[in-house]
Parts: sequence; C-alpha cells; structure tokens
Amino acid sequence: MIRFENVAMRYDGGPEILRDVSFELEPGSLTFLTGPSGAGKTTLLKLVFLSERPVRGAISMFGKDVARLRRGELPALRRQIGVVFQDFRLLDHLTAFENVALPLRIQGMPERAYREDVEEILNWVGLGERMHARPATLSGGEKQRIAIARAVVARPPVLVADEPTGSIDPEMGARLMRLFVELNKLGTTVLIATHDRSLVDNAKARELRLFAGRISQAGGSRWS
Amino acid sequence: MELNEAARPARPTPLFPRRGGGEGALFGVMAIMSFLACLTLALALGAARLAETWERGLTGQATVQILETPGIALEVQVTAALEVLNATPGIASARVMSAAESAELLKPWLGDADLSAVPVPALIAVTLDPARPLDADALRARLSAAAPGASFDDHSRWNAGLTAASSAIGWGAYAILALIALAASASVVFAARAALQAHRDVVDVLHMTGARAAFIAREVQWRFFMLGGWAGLAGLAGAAALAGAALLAADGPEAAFLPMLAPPWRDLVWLAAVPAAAAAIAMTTARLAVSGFLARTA
Ligand SMILES: Nc1ncnc2c1ncn2[C@@H]1O[C@H](COP(=O)(O)OP(=O)(O)OP(=O)(O)O)[C@@H](O)[C@H]1O
Ligand SMILES: [Mg+2]
Repeated sequence: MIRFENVAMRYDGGPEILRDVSFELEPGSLTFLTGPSGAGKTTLLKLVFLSERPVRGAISMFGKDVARLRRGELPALRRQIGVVFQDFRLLDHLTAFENVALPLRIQGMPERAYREDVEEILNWVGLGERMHARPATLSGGEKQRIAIARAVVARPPVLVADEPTGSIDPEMGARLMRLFVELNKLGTTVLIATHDRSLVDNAKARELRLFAGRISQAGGSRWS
Repeated sequence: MELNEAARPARPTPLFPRRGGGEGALFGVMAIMSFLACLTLALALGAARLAETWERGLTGQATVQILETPGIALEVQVTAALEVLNATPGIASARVMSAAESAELLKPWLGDADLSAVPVPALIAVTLDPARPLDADALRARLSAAAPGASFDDHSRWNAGLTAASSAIGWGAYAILALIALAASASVVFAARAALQAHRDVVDVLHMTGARAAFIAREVQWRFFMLGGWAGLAGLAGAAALAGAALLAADGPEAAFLPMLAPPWRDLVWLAAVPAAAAAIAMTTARLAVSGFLARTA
C-alpha cells in the first residue's frame, strides 16, 4: 500500500534527515514509528502524507509512483490519508465540530449529511459537550482529540498519527489507542509515530525504529 | 461570543477568518473606485444624451439664403430654389420666410435700422426629413445652378463640432472606466494574495485534507464577491449623495443646462450596474489570483 525504497530527505540546504529508508506498509497493517526526538519521525510522516518530496529514492502509494503524480491527482490521494498532526493544526476560528467536519466539508457534503457522523465521533473522543467550543478555549489534550477525530471522520483507508497521545493522560491514551486498533481491525492501514513505549508494548504491533536517519525493524510480524 | 460559546453557529463558519486579511483596506479602495466609476459613467451617459439632443435639435432644420444677384430678379431665384428643394429627397418641406420674419432674424445684428434701404436676402426655412439622409453637396450644386445667389446652410459645421466634442467626452469616459476596472482588479489581486498569505496555515490544512484548488478558490471568491458588491453599493450611495447635493445647490434654471446632474431613470439603471460590476470584478479576479497562488505553492 505504501512503499519506501532507499528514500533520502533533507530540508533545503540542510543536512540529510533521512537516508536509505526502505519499508513497506501492507494494507490493513498497524505499524509504530519510534525513535528519539529529532530522529526524523515527523519528517518521514510528511513524506507519507505528501507534504514533502524525497531528494532521492522512490515512494509509491496505492501503487502509484509519487514522483510522477500530477498536481491534480494530489487532492484525491490525500483524501485517502487521514493525518493527526503533532501540532494539531486546528483552524482556530472554527468550532470543534467544524474542525472535525472539515474533511467532509471539502468533499462538498452539506452539513445535514455529516452532522450525525461528526457528533458520534466527537462523543467517542469524549468531547460531545464541547463540540461548539473553539480551539482557543480547549485544553491541549482536548485539541489533540479533535485532531484525531478530524483524521478519522471520513474513514480514510490510511491513518497517519504523529504523537497522537502526547498531550493525553494514560487512560484517555489507552482509549484512543483502542480507537486506532478498532479502525485497523476494520481494514484501515495505521501508522503511528510515538515516544510512548507503553503504547507500543501493549499493542504488540510491528515497530519501525528510526535512529540517525536510518530505519531498523522490530517485533510484531503478525500485524504486517 | 464568550457567553454562548457552546451554541452552534447559525451557519457554517467561513473557512477563511474575516480578520487579518487586510479586507477593510480593500473595501475602502473598492468603494472609492465605485464612486469614481459612477461619476464617470454618469459623465459618459450625459455626453451621449447631449450629443443626441444636439443631433435632433440642430439637424432638423436648415436654411437657404438667397442674395440679390445682378441680372436676375430675387423672386425668380426664390421660385427656382423652391423648385429644386421640393424635388430633393430628404427634405420634408421648404417655406419662404416673410420679410417681417427675416427682419426679425436680422434684428440682433442690425438693430432698428431702416431695412428698406439695404438689400435684404430672402430666406427659405427648410425642414429635413429625419428618416432620409440628405446629400448636402449635391443639393448645393443644383441650387447654385438654378439660383446663383443661393447658399444652403444645414448648421452641420456647428453640429459636427458639438457631436465630435461630446463623443470624445464619451470615449474618454469609457477609457477612464476601463482604467478604474483595471486598477480595481489589481487591488483585488494584491488583497487576495495577501489574504492567502495571511492565512497560510488554513491553506496548508485545506491542502493536507485534500481540498482541491477550485474548492479553496470558491471559498475565497464568494468573500470577495460580497465585499465588492457592498463596496460598490457604498460608492453608488456616495455618488447619489453628491448628485443630490449638486441638484439642491443648483435648483435655478441653470440646472437645466446640467443634464449630467439630472439623469433620467433609464440612466440610473446603468449606474446600478456599477455595484454589480464591482462584485463581478472582485469575484473573478480573486478566483484567478487564488488559482495562480495555489498553482505556485501547492
Ligand atoms: N521544516 C524544517 N526545516 C528544516 N529542518 C527541519 C524542519 N523540520 C524538521 N527539521 C529538522 O529535521 C530533524 C528531524 O525533525 P523531525 O520533526 O522529523 O523529528 P521527530 O523525530 O519528529 O522529533 P520529535 O520526536 O521531537 O517530534 C530535526 O533535526 C529538525 O530540526
Ligand atoms: Mg515529530
């Protein structure tokens, strides 16, 4: 489904952040991406959700070579990938409800068509009471849960989450992890970048370790 | 907003926040442009109306003047000239003016002098047929053959000058309108780019969520449509206020000489096109600017 071959990445003019990165995510797999802060986890995820392009190597997504994508093909491809950003990236002037509804709204759906779905997922992440609050009035953990709800609301076949439990207490973290596992069981391909060892150990999933810009693999072959 | 922050907004919040895009400045610029456009358009319409008035008022009439020529009696010349005039297509009627009428016409120049002492030319008043064009040169040739002392004056020298002047004013006004539209478009381009630049974060999130450029352009273009329309109405209101004030100030008979200040209702319809044009210009230009911006940054 997603395939990296000898991928290297650098931000313009800077040092190489990733080098020689090769791995493949099978459809329906659950994979963790771990590594120390600054190892390049977020950078690797940016390549996955097509926000950055590699300087070397090949990335293919859904069987398509990313380097050969035309601009017009990007939106359709990005709609296949739900993203939880490490810094949330909520739109501050929209309510929680509207932030979560965004992926459906940009597909041209009218509000009455998605209201129930959005309210359901907001209830699931424990924010049913605060759905019309704006991000500025929410706690870090609440914002994170909004970001997660937005990433999954359109049921994309691929879910990419960058530190999705970083601002959340262990109990809520476990609950959200159950959401990811549940979606994964329903067929979603899930890739989660995290420092949280307990998350990785409990899920017994495959783990890609990033260190000094290179990948090594460990564990959980039953998921891949 | 703080009080009922948990209430659902009446309708979906626009994806681009209202504040921070420099839209107040654009509103001011667009309102001023619309104000100027209204005045210029009124000038163009007024010039067209003046030209029409002159055309109708002056070309409807012409005169033939017949001077005493040695050897031929004046009456003979008059009869010959009338015959030629009545046989000419494009002339509705021709009538010999009485001596009293001619004297009345000459009075401003000659005063109360005794006219019986000077040779007074005979005058024939000619009414032209507005439906049929007159070949003035051919008529002159035939007139001077029949009556050597006759000369035909259709006021066309006057008329041509006035018509040329008013049509020059008209074209000049339309050129100014085009320039105003161009300047308005340019300011919309800058404002649309600035708005996207200021809301870069929103654009990024929309991209990452899979929004198409056309969707983003549509979000932006309606904002500019509304902004342009309201600014256009503000400009129109300003122009109307100015026209009203001018009419009040000039309510004497001289107001009749300012047809531009008293436009008929037909022209007001055209002025109402200014806000519509402002909205359309703002919308299409914003759309183009956004598409261009996204093509360079996506
Ligand atoms: N936009 C950028 N421009 C230049 N350098 C960047 C940029 N983003 C990240 N970097 C650099 O790339 C390296 C990897 O950053 P990245 O964010 O991928 O790390 P990370 O593994 O996600 O870290 P963390 O666990 O702290 O989130 C860092 O050294 C960082 O300074
Ligand atoms: Mg990171």
